[in-house]
Amino acid sequence: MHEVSSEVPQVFQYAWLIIAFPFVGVLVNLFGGKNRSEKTIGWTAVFFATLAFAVSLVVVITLIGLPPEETKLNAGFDVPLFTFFSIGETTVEMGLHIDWLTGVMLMVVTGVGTLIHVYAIGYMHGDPRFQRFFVYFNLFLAMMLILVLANNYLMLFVGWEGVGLCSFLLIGFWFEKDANGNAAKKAMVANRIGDYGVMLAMFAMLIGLGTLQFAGVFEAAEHGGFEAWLLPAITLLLIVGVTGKSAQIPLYVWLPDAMAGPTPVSALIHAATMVTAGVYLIARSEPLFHAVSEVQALVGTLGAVTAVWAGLIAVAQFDIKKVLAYSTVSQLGFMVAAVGMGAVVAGVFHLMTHAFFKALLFLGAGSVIHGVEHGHHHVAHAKHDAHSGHGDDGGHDAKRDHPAETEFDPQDMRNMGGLRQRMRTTTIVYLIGSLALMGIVPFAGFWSKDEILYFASEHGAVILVLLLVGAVLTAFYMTRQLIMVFFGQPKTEAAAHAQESPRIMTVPLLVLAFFSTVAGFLNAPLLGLTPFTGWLEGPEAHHEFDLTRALILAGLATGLALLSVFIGYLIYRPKAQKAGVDDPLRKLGFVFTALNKKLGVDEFYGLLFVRPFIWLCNFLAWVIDWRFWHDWFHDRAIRDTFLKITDFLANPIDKLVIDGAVNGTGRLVAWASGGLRKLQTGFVRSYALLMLAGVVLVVAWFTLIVLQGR
Amino acid sequence: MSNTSFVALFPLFIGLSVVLFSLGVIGVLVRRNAIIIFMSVELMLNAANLAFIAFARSFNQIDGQVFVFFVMVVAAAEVAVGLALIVAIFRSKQSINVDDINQLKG
Repeated sequence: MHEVSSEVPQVFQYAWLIIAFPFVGVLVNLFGGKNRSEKTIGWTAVFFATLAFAVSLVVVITLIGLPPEETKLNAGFDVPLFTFFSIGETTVEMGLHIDWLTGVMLMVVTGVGTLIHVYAIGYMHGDPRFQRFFVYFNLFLAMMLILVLANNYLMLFVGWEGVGLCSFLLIGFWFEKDANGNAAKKAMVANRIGDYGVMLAMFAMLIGLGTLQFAGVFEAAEHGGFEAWLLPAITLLLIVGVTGKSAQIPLYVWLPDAMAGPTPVSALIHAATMVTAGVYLIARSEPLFHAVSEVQALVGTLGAVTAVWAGLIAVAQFDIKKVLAYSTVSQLGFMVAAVGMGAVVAGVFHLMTHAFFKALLFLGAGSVIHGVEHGHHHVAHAKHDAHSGHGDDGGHDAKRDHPAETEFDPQDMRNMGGLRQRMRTTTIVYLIGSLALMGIVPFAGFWSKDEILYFASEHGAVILVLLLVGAVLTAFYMTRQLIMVFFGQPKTEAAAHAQESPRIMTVPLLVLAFFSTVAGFLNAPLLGLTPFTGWLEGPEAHHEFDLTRALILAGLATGLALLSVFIGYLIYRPKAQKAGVDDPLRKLGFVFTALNKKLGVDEFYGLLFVRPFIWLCNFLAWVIDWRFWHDWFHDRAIRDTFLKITDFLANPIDKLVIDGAVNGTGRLVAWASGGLRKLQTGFVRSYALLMLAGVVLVVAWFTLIVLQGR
Repeated sequence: MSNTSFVALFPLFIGLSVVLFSLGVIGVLVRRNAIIIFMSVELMLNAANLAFIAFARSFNQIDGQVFVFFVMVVAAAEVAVGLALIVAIFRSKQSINVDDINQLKG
């Protein structure tokens, strides 16, 4: 089943160019000199992203031309590149794996990526670190492409870590603000926990299966002959990685905070591509998950619960990007639930459509923020001119219901309203994106979400109900957002003076809006269109498709979503949207407050992990390291003892004993020689006398002996 | 000279030797002139020689007489070296008074 076709098409030998081009972009922008204009830098990055897209397109077109059973998921082609390392019997060969899953990911990553690159040229205009931004962006693209093109888990992990790094760098891109740096650190830490799971999974593979190559691992997993714990362990550890990278319970907390980064980053990394890496990982490891149905059930439930959980929180957020962030978590929950249930096609399909419409929504939100900021500057400027010397140059309404914030927040939806009059294009594309996200016919989200629901209905009521609730919540919070942002009266002067974003930002929006509309028809079983399923599963794998059930589900989901939109409309009546209006949901009391506070998960984690950790760190630093090691062990035990010993050696031993011995010897010699010195008179005759005396003595001595001997 | 007559003379020889030796010792100790001291040393050597010969004759053994020759050779060599030293000292010090010669520095 997993053997790789022997004949690899010539084109695939050049697939490594897809990874190489963005890297070249990184190098060019990194070393290309400092004084280049924004245009040069931006378009250089776009150029290399486009080249990668072009090669990807060639690859995908080649895939279309090949027989489906050769290109379906995990059949595909291996293009060996080089041997990474070889230790004993373990050899890791770097190479590319190209099948339809890779093809779809390539299209999403390079296609959406290129569009967001273009958008970013407009969005990042005037930023002092413009060049650095595009270096990071191209680097991210390269890493993501390594991730999706890898033919083994280690290379995948290289990309996995690389995108994590870029995510960290870009979340903290505006590091002057503490909050952004903290968000970056939070993302890094949460991802680290997940990455650790992936690493352990790889170790388990090496120990149990002896290889990291996809083909080898899947084949070994199929043939068995290893201990029973191995596959559950590997899959569960991979799930840990997925919860980190794809922001599932319990590690999702980093993703909403990751919105601290520039909006194109949120769109590209934290909505369209990087966060879907976890979904890709499960889809890619499908043969492993397939073998462990308990883990599959767990993943499905995990995803579904995440979908509802994040959807609930999204309802009560005021930050336009936070709503979208929780929405992303929720939609990722849909995808994870799908791939968890084994519905890889549905999950990947939703991944693709979600990439389009969520990127669209984020970029739209960026456009809104851009416009409102523009309006804010406009107002501030006008006021400044009117009352020169007046201290307050913030053009915000005093009646806003959060007076604690003195600084104007261009991302707060309570500062918006009525933007549809000022930002026509943005409003239209945002509406399209929202409808796609809500799952309204005929936009892309409808088809992909419907397919997930269909598979969920085959899989059990719990997941289905959870996902339906998630869909209803999605429709509700998007309605709320649309009305708060675009309808009613402007709630601040900044919103009233908002300005449509430049062409370079709106054109990518229009392209994404187009795909958000039509991408769904790639897999619309209700209309009999299923090329996407054919690509991924091959021709022979034909699911039994129950049209009646599909229709009922589609009707139910759409009906519920429309109902939800209607309820949202009633609650948020656009006419009531004007300056100073509070969120009607606040009447729910503590429920709203709890949701607004993100259900206290951050605080809970803070209490459970961060506080004890910080306490432990403080304990280790101040008590163990400082007081014990430094003060006691080093200063007291080592230094003081050493001083004491040296003092003992120096004073009593050295000064008294050694010096005494040496000086005493000297003094003894001096004293003795003082007596003897008198003998040396220099008079030869006295010497002669002494000699005589000596001889007399000796003779007397001998004589005595002789006399005694007698 | 017969042996019997020598037995009677033996104490005289020894006594002479003792007297000569004592004179030599006194000469070495009390005189300051290096040449006189030198002569006194020679006197002591010859006193010793006399004792040697007397004992050799007395005990009828040739060893003592042979030894005298050695002593005379040594004395001759001593004279040669000693006189040369005295001449050298006189040249540098303009004196052969041994009390003046109390420094190794020349």
